[in-house]
Amino acid sequence: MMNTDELFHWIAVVLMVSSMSISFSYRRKAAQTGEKIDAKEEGSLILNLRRIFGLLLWLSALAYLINPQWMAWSSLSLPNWIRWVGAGILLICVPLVYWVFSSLGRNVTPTVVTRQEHTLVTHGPYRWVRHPLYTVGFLMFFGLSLLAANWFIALTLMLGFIPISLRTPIEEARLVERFGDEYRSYMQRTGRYLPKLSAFEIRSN
Amino acid sequence: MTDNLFFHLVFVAVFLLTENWFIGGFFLGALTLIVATRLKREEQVTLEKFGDEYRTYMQQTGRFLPTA
Repeated sequence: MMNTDELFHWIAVVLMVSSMSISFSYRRKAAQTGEKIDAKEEGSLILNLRRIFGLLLWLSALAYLINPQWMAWSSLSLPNWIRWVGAGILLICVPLVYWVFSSLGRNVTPTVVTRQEHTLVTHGPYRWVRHPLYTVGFLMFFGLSLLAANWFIALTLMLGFIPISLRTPIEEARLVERFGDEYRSYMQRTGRYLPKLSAFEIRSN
Repeated sequence: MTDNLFFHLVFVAVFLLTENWFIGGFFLGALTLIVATRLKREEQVTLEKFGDEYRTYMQQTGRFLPTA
């Protein structure tokens, strides 16, 4: 009989590997267009911060998935119900990751740069949210940090989201340049990371 | 303690995704209130235990920074 730590670890492995393989297969297809994407167009400070936190986040998540003992130094004693909440979040993320990537098609890039053949996607999750990939990515690692009961993963995620928050307005400005009023009116209909609740307005532009 | 940590994490997560400064402000306010009430209780308990010794110590020192 497995103990609960082992059970949580295997749930994390199955769900993370599912989400990650969906992501990798779509990113690889997009990269096959062979177009060179110049990352330097992004502010260098934002780019560097994002790389550092992104790397730390991925390394710590991978370390936990390969061998939880490697991340034991930053483990928390969370009650089991919180870890199950994390498992639930991670489970929901698998179809969400698929939904986002299948809607985005070949437009995905690792940067704010738009592709030459870029089309404005406003279907699927993009009907309500402008940056659902960031939302899903955030939720995925948030779920993992609860499931793994690890404060380091949670901390690098929260700190790593700050450069994303700074970068998103740059990305949106780029999209306004590219698509003009079409994107401006799209921004009015949608929320940045979460659907716009017009009744409550729990969101800023 | 870890239950509290969970709620802090959820709050920060909601703030990051909504970018709503009311939520952020509310969270900071709540956190300040929690820390302030805790500090007060901590000093009360210490006073009960050490009495005048702690009272004079409190007069000589600042709470977070040295007194001028």
